[in-house]
Amino acid sequence: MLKYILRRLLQMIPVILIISMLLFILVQAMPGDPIQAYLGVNSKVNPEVKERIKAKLGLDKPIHIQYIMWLKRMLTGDFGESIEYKRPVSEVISQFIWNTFLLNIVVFILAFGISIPVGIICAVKKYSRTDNFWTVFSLIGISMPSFFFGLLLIFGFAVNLKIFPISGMITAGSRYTGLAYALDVAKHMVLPTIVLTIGSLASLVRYVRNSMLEVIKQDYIRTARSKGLSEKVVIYRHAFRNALIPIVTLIGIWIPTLFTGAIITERVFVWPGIGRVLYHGVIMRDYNIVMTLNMFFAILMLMGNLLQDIGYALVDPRVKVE
Amino acid sequence: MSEFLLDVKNVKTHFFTDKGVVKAVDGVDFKIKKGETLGIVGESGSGKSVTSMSVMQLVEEPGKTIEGAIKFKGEDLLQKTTEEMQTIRGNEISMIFQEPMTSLNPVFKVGEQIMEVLMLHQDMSREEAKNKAIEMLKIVGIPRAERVVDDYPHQLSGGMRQRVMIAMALACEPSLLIADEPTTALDVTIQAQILQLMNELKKKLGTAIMLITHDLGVVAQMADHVIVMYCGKVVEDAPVEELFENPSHPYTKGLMKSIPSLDDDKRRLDSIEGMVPHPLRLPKGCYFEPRCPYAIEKCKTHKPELKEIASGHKVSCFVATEEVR
Amino acid sequence: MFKRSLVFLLVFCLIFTLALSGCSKETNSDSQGSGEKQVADQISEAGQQDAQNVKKQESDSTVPNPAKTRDSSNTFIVGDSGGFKGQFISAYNSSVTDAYVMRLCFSPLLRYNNKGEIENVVAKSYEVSEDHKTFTFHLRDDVKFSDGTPLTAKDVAFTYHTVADPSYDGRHIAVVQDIVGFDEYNKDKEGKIKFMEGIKVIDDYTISFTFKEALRINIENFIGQLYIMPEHFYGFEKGHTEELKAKQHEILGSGPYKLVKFEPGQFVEMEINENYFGDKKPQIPRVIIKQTEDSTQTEELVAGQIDMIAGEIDPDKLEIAKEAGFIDFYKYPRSGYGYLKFNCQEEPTNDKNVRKALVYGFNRKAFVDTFFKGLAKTQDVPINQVAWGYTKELQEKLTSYDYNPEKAAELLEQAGWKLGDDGYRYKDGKKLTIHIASIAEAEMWEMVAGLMAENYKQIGVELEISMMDFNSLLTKVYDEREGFNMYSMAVNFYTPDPAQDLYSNWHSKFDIQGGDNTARFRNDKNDELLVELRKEFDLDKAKKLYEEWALNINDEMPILILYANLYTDLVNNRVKGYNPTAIYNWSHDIVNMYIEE
Repeated sequence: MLKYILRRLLQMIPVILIISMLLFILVQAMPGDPIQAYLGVNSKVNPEVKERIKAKLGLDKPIHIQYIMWLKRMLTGDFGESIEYKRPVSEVISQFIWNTFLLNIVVFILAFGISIPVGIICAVKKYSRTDNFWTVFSLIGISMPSFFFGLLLIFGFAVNLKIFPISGMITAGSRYTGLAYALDVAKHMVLPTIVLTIGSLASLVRYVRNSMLEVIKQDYIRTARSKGLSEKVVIYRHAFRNALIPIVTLIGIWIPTLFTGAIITERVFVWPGIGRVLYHGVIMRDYNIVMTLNMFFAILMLMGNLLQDIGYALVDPRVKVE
Repeated sequence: MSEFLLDVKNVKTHFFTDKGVVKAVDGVDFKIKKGETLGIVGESGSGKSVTSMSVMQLVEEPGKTIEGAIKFKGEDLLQKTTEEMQTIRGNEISMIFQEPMTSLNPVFKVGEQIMEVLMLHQDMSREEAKNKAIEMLKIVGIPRAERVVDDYPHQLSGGMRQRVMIAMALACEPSLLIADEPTTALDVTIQAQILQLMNELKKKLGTAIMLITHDLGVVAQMADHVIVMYCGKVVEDAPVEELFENPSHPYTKGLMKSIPSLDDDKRRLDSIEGMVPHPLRLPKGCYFEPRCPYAIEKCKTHKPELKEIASGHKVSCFVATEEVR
Repeated sequence: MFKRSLVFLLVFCLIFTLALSGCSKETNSDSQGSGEKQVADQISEAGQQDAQNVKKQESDSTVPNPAKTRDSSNTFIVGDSGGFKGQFISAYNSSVTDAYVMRLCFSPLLRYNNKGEIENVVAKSYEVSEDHKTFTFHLRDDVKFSDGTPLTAKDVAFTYHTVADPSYDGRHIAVVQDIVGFDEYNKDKEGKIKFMEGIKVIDDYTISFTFKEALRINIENFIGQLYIMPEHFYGFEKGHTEELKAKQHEILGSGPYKLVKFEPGQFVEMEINENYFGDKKPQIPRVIIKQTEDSTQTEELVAGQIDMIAGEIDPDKLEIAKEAGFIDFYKYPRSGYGYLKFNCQEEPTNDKNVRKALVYGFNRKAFVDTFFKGLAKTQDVPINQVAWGYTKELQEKLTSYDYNPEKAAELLEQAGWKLGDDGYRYKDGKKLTIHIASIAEAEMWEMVAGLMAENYKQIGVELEISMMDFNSLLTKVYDEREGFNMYSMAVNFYTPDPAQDLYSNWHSKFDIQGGDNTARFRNDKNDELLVELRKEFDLDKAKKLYEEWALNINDEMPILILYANLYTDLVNNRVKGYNPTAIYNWSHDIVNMYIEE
């Protein structure tokens, strides 16, 4: 197994390099000038002074030179400076990415924690009232746009019922520490978590349900029953253990998404996450931010793939890893 | 205590589908003696598998056993609760299935699956169960049982897997083993081995076997007594030699004729004309009538019943019973 | 059976969600409609008034005010949806939200007050040399930074040198680019030149700046442009602005407030600076600026979670605030406008008569009234309404380009564009097609585009619109400078004397790649006037020059001004003492504001 992982990691390197090249070309190919965008309209800066600034940032050099300069820097861990924030990209990102991660990991735990038992129940009690309820719920969840849903929750629970705060991650001007701080964050996290969880829950429940249904049809379930095992053991041990296989692989795909921000949800709730940073970076052509974040996500996806394959091997004895 | 281990009387298992009621098992009677092998013969769709599932009470929705009595060791299984049935399954009545490739759980080790049944019914510890599992594997003729016990099903061949199934089924020494087409999916040579194994174990453990098959050759080799099923009903019921010497029901006769034999110089195999009727559009009279070369007027309008024509030999046919008389 | 329960469930969900969201809105649509109209009417009237005259609508102080029950009654919370970048020091400040923080915590040499007058802040007086090129500032001797260190001339010199640094890549470089010695200093990467020739520290409290040219508007570089940073805290080695950048969100200033906490993406908390030198001391113990979101900030205001929203333009939100009953309204015209600039070097808009026809031919008033519901008006000269050069006399003399399709058609005919059979105009075989480049911004632009296409069709003009994102648009108009006849944007001015803005926007020398003259306007009379306008020190003569310039450009019409908004500051009525104008906001006025319980 270790050899396999090592080999896969080595294989990733040329892939990452190619991705970086493609990304670099795509980002540079976007029409637009980050300096002009940063200076804005009516800056009154002399055009020749603008050129001097562009030269300072190396933006006047040919693209392949810029790429090599960028690559050299990346390899030494220097992700460059954000044109907009005028801070090292790593600093800008670290300010916000953990907030996104916090939100996402809670959503992840809730989504899987709820969808697995619910999916199993829906499969076992196919077409019952519970199953039908979750079918409708899935449809609504998948079709409801997060912006609309977010605002709905805000108007319902924060504005009208006044149970939760309207926006933000912590109460403005508060000096909470320790437990009080954690509770304040938790209070602010409830509504955005609901939006994101329900969005994911819808498809997850369906997925688990379908996986279970597939398994329950199998011959070995009939064998298990014929052995006199209780229905609970048949479902939760024999069936679920097999239904787990596709679910585990799903977790592998979810890992990279823990770091990507749901831009719309974060914006509606003014959750200080990474989504806005990337979105804004693209609009303003903040090359270093866009490149760094995208490379990060690309690597996460590759890792996610690897985790998925390892997951498969761990959970399904029929899968051999060479 | 009756002399019969299993006494099935007038069992009806119907499937209540959106399109109508499928009478898969429609008034079936048979008996099995202790240590005896009963062969149940019929084409697919005859209701033989559903019959065995009815005995085990494992009929799936939308099927339901609506009538009859299944007396096992004197007690009616149809009156038992789920928990009571669960103590019987795998313990006093076991089952093996047609597809060894898919009948074992792919994510558990083979030994685990045998141990499971031992720990559940015989209250053994893990260690005891493992030892017994290895023993069972040896009994069913699996070489290097100590290694195989930790293998996963996908690492074994079809024949090996069926042996494991048998080991698993017999681990608790059940009185009755239901074998639903156990060799159909196997190679001919393996088939012979498995059948031989079953016979040996039957003698050794005194297990009765309810052997379901469409293959008359298997019946000849294994069964003591045979019932022939067609469209959910028993059409002939006889000891094995009697059946082969005097097949009386036109359907049975047709089956016998279609077995190729080295003695014949026929070029073409005989087959029974026509097709099995659709379960939702069964004939009003005798179900076999549309295909029967011997059919008379009465067959079109009346359903025949099982009548004894010789000692232990019953037939459900107007023509067959009249002839004998 | 299943289908029926499915339908019930869906209907139930729909009703539930609608009920929950509409819970508190008891007003029926009628009263809401008339209420809105009332507000709009009042505001329309207000819009007619003089720009300097801010209309204040006070609310009932006896109405229950949720902010009063907030447990931080000594705190003033401002909600802003712009966004913090954490660039609080003057050199790198590039967002409105950060600028609020900057103004609270630092001080400039001079600034404009709410009467449009130049007010002394750190400088207690200044003189202009005879040749009008040198400005000598005499600093107050009692200014201290929040750590007690006195502010002296070297700090002023340091601040102005930061934006001239060879490694400086921020946007405030325009403030120093006209000072003698700037180019040498800015190009010197090795650090041999320690100071700009034109900046002289005479003694601890005296500093002079010498400019390359003798211009009246040179003084603008000292009015609320750079806020003084202490050298002992922010000092860095020449050529290494990264050391300065590392301290962008740290604050050591001489303003009325100092920084307590900065939570990126969330809020900034400030408290009173005891060492503040100003004659009027701050009265609100804590000020918090909170990041908000447009779609929910009005609700936060009405729930008492924030005390102020600045610059609201949406009439629906004003209605919500009005209904709450405890929000004061402060209305003033924006110091800026939204526009469509013509490309004066591209056919057919290179013909001034075509341009005029296009302005006459579009019903701007109808658009403004419909979209802004009275909270905006139109104007016909590209200047801000608070400019002292935009006098009443001038306004009377200007040609008003009110919607007049007949006149538009006439102008086009005269210019040689004749009506063809298909209803469009042709000249020398070419069809009269106007290309507009704009940002793909939903609501407003759809309405403009729709109205325009309709209006222009009437006069025989074909309209083609390309939508693109902000950045691509900038590249098109700043770098490419061709391929469009009009483009849409908006602009803001921060001074009542915008001669420099006008110069860089309309002088032909800036019609080059990267230059601000994106209308590509080349007019000799205009150039002359703009040059004179910058120089003239006599204010009365300068007013005359403004007038001449305005009349000329009003005739040349290089720009179609689409809307000049009326802004409304919404303030919780427990906050008093506030007196804003278009270029003087709460962050300027903070020391006069107080909370009344």
